[in-house]
Amino acid sequence: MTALLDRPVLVKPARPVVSRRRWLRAVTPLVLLAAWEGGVRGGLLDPDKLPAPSTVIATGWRLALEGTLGEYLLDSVQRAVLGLLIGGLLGLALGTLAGLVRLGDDLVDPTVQMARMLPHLGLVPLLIIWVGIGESLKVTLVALGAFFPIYLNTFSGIRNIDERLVEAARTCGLTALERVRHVVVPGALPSLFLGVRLAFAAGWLSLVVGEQVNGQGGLGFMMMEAREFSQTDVVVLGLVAYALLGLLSDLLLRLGERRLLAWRHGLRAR
Amino acid sequence: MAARTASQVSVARGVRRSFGDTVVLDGVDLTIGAGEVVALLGGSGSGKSTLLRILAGLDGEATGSVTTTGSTAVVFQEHRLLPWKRVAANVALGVRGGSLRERVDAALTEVGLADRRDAWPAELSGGQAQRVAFARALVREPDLLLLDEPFGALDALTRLRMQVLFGRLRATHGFAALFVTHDVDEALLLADRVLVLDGGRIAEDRPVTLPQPRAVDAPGFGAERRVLLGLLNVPASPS
Repeated sequence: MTALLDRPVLVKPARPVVSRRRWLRAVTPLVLLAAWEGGVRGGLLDPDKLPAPSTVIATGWRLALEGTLGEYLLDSVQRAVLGLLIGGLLGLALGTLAGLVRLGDDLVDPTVQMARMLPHLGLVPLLIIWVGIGESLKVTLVALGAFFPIYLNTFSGIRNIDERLVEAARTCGLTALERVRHVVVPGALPSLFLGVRLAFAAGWLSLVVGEQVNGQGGLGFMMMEAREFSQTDVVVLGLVAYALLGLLSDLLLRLGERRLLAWRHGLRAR
Repeated sequence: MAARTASQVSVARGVRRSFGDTVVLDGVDLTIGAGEVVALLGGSGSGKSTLLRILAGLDGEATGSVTTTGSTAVVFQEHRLLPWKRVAANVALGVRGGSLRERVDAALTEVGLADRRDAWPAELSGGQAQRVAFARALVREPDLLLLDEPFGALDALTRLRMQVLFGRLRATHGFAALFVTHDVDEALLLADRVLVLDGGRIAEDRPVTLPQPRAVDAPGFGAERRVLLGLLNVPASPS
């Protein structure tokens, strides 16, 4: 077929292509941002429905100077960290138990797999009855969101470890505990990192939902209050803040990954 | 002739192992003397690797008795290095006692990889990785080295170099070794004694009396080779 024959053979060096592509990646967001700004200024977009990016930045600056933005941000981050810690540690503990011990697998895994099918955000009405609309609701939602990805990836990370490596470690005279330390933990770490990344995503999502249920403080509260007064710029600012928090957490995670999974980067570099 | 007990590093009696209804090992008796290199030959699926795993203590479901005196180390067909540990840490894995760094470096020097101590296993070639696996076994100063087709995954040239290396290491350290192989030439080059596993038992226990240094083109090698191939039910020449 001519279509196949016409395709040129790729023999170009890879490096320039990569750097140019990286630069190209910034084009679309920048164009969209410019179009948004131009649209508002040109009267195409109603600023009451969607304020210009420059307005949002100005509002952010003003609220930051007043101190309210920082305060709300801290509230949200506190809830997220607490929820991720509780849910994450629980997921890690149960995932390790189910992954390492046959009895733990039988007792824990089927139940967790069933509970996983329940959309945890659908539990909001029930949770309100159980824990009220205060801080515990937000933290519980984040913890629930974080639990499942960490549990699942801890479990599969442990289960997918190459049995032959465990065997080799045994012939090297490692005790069961040493095998866990030198083989199981590092072997499950890539999967665990994936779990943490998914937990962050689920955690932020749960926080957004949780913070829109009444309550005091936090970015969600700021946005709901702004909606009452039709301050669209503050609503958009809240969205931007959520997005930036998500981005920041992902960045931190990547940094940790680069340090702890250096052996995999060595693999890729070659 | 009954060998003295003190000079035996491994004795197996009546070893049996079955997978489901298939009996793989049906009463294997085996003795390995101190410093003796024994090749375990057998066709595919004859249970060679199973027997080696039992001697290494890796098979909990076998019956019979296995007594091993002194320390053992295992080299597998694949290098089985931990990908998340650098070469030196892989060699040092589970080694106790002082001056660890010196011992690890000495072992790596012996296999010619002293300059690769800080490399990741993924950065090594197949032959290099297998040499690290040898260093990992050597640093334990084993009385018995168990090798499961240690050169089976290597290309022909690397395999020849590794066989030379094995001969040198053995001369230096004087360990006893049991190595599983399906390569008759390899068995005749390296072993003091050849065992042929067939039908779940040791069908043949044959000392190799060829003079050292051995070579495939030395006199007597071809005749011995034909005998072993005959025992393995391989026709001596294609006809």
